[in-house]
Amino acid sequence: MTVEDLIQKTDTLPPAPEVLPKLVKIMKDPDTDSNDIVQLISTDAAIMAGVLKLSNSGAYSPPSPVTDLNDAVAMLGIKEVYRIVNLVSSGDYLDGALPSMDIGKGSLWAHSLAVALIMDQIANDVCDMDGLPYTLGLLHDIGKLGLHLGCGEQYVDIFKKVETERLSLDKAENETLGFDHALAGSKMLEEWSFPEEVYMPIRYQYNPQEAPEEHRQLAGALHLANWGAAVIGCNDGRDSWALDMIEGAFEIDQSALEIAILNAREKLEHARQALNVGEN
Amino acid sequence: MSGAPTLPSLFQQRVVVGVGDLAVSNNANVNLSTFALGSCVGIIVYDKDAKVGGLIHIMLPDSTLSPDKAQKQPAMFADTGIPLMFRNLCGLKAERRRMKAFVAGGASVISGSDMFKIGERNIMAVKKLICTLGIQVVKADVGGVNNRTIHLNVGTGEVTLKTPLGTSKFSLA
Repeated sequence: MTVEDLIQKTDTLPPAPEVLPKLVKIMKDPDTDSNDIVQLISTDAAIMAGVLKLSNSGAYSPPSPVTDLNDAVAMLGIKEVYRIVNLVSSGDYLDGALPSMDIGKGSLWAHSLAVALIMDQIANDVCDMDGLPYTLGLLHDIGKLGLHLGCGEQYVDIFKKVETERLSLDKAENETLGFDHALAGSKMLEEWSFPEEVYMPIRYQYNPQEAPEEHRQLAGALHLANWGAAVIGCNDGRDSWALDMIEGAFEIDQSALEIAILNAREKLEHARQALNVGEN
Repeated sequence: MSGAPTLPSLFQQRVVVGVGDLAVSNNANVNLSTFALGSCVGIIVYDKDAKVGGLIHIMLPDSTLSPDKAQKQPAMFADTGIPLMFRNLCGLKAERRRMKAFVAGGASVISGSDMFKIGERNIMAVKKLICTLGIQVVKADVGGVNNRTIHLNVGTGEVTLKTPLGTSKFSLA
């Protein structure tokens, strides 16, 4: 099976998200205002309900109850509402268990959220679009879902390689399947009409030095943030530490990174409680 | 009746210690547990005479990184968490000379350069502090590339270590 075959298996893969790719494109536009965002979110009742629930949770503790989307934008700001929509939308894809990889229910979402929260602190300075690093963090492992659904049975052999040859997961996938979950995720996101600012850094997260220059820094930040999530224990699955660390993938001071990891852990707890990650 | 829970197991309570947290207990019905120790280091300490045990899940070696966070959550760091755990154990009449410790965790990535070496630095900090306190470390399972889960049965001193490679049990009593 090629990665293209996998992407075309529409009976296997989940349907494309409607709101999120459009939202990312809207946020790229410097002329975007809150009405554009409210109008888009209003087209999806489930996302709207999720936004209101999270806006009223302890994660944000608004001074007065948020009763509609205009309230949410006014109280939290467009950028924060953007993050909430990302979080709510990605839950549909990431909350389930991936038994082929020993990833329990809610664990992939928690991991992705941890990566998003670290990205939000370390990578906004290297990107023009506020919120993009957060989106990348949430979606960076979407390819695992595609591979679990499309060829999960292959993971017996893949993990054998990881464990006997001490290969990182992406390398073991490449040797077994001919592609890895980063490429699969990138192709899924491209198919779902996300802009290249989203799918290219995800494509190169394990080999950022090979990314086109305009995507190299965000790919490098993802490389590091993925490891950072493991430091706070958000790396469930049989591949927990089957990571390859590339020195110099992203320039950051050690203490700045550790502070980002500590902050992410704190915020993660609030979000997990508010969203009941893994309990729906 | 085959498969039925034994009477003592009906009264067992599990206390889960999260990342950057600690717990001590002298309740024989308590199991202290921590899950998914990766680069973090977990320490279990037990005094068999006092039947007192403690468990800490340390995330980073040094609190100078963030004194504010260390004040709010001292068990996050080795240098603030370990002395606190020992004070709490002594508060339950455990005595240092009788304490035995088990150390687990400190994993690192499978390949490439682990440039920040958090696992390794955590292990070194923990060993140094425990040595300074004069506590006997009777077993350690550190380094490597696997997450670890550890449990302590406070009533018996039995420790359970789970990794993707299997489960082992031993006693600190």
